[in-house]
Amino acid sequence: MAELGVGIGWRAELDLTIERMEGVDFVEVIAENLRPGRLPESLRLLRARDVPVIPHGVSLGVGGAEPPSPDRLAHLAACAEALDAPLVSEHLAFVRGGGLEAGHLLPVPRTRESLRVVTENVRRAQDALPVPLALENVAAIFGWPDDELTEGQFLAELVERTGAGLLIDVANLYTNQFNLGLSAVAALDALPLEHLAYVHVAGGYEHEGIWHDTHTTAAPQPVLDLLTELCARAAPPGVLLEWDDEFPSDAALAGELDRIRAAMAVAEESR
Amino acid sequence: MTGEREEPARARELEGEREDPAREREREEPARARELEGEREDPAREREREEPARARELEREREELARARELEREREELARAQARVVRALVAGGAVPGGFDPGRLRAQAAGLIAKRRSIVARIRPDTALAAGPDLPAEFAAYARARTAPPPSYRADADDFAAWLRERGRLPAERPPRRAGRWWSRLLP
Repeated sequence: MAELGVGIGWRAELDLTIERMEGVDFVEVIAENLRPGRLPESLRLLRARDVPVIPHGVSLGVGGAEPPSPDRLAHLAACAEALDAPLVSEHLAFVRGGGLEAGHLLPVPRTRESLRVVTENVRRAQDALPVPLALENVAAIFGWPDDELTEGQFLAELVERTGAGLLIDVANLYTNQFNLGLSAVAALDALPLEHLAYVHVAGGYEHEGIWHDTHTTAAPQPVLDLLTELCARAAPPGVLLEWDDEFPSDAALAGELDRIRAAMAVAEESR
Repeated sequence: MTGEREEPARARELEGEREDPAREREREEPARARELEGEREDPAREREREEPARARELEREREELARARELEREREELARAQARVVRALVAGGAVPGGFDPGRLRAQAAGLIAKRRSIVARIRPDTALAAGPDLPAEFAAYARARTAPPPSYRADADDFAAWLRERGRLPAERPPRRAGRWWSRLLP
């Protein structure tokens, strides 16, 4: 996997912040917001500085019952080419069903049957993309009654069968532990970390006993502790901070990148 | 004399080659020749030799077809299950059997919050107009519809229209947020 370093999710609101920030080794951009033929000036500037830019899709739905749409795949491929990206990332999730758009990422049923369907979907996506595909674990509020596999087992099998990379979101592992009682450390143990492409870190908040992964606050310490746990098992090629709304000052964002580096360093000392 | 003795033999040999290529091969590759002979003589034996390979191929094709049918069946089953969940989350459908109703309600609220934050970014005028009532207004708007619009842009414009109908947004859409082209010139 390509070495990426420490990065931040590029958002239009953060364009100047990111351009001016020290130590941003790579960025990620929401693919659905891009027009490959008309890249934002800020991304062109980052590319001119050789900062890798990874297209990150949110609406492909490789965890859906339908095979992934050729149009959406063509868009992801065009984004990867326009940005000369080392890889493309998406989510192990479904986003629509019965002709309705859910509007966000929903967890797939983790059964042997759905694993076969998702495997076939991922293979089709890989065939349509010019660069490797990495898949991200999602934050879930609900689980399926007939789940047979843990998320770690499901992802491990999927990666084994397809050769896809892993994008591990430690905030999502934390969310699933908080909401569904699924052990985040056990998930890390089950995941084939040799396929790790990069890691997501983000903050959220608790409301009425449920953790909402909103990407609007600083990552809580337990999320950074999970990053340390992950780094103690494998050195991630990249770690990226996601912040989507209610943006803080440039200094506060830079401070969050420092907290990420510190959490990684704790593991490096013990490794 | 020597030449004479040899020549007829050579001539016979050449003659033989011309007359019977099979015999020549028989000399050179007896086994192969017998095999060819056998093939010519006994089509039944030929079939016997080829049949296991064809049978294996047919078996493989049958297995692939069965796998494809099985995958198709699994896709249909997954489609039905996911459709039930999405209907319950965004279109007021019944909670499917086995699911925790409280969790699905929380997920549904989460989806509306996600839509609201994206709509507020696409149409900041709607967020500004609704002010602190934005969560309540957006939830009421979302409940009043049978399904979310197909895109966030459509969702934003529909929410603006909904606010306008209630007199909470001026009829004229305000000018788009000014570009920040000049900000690039700042230090």
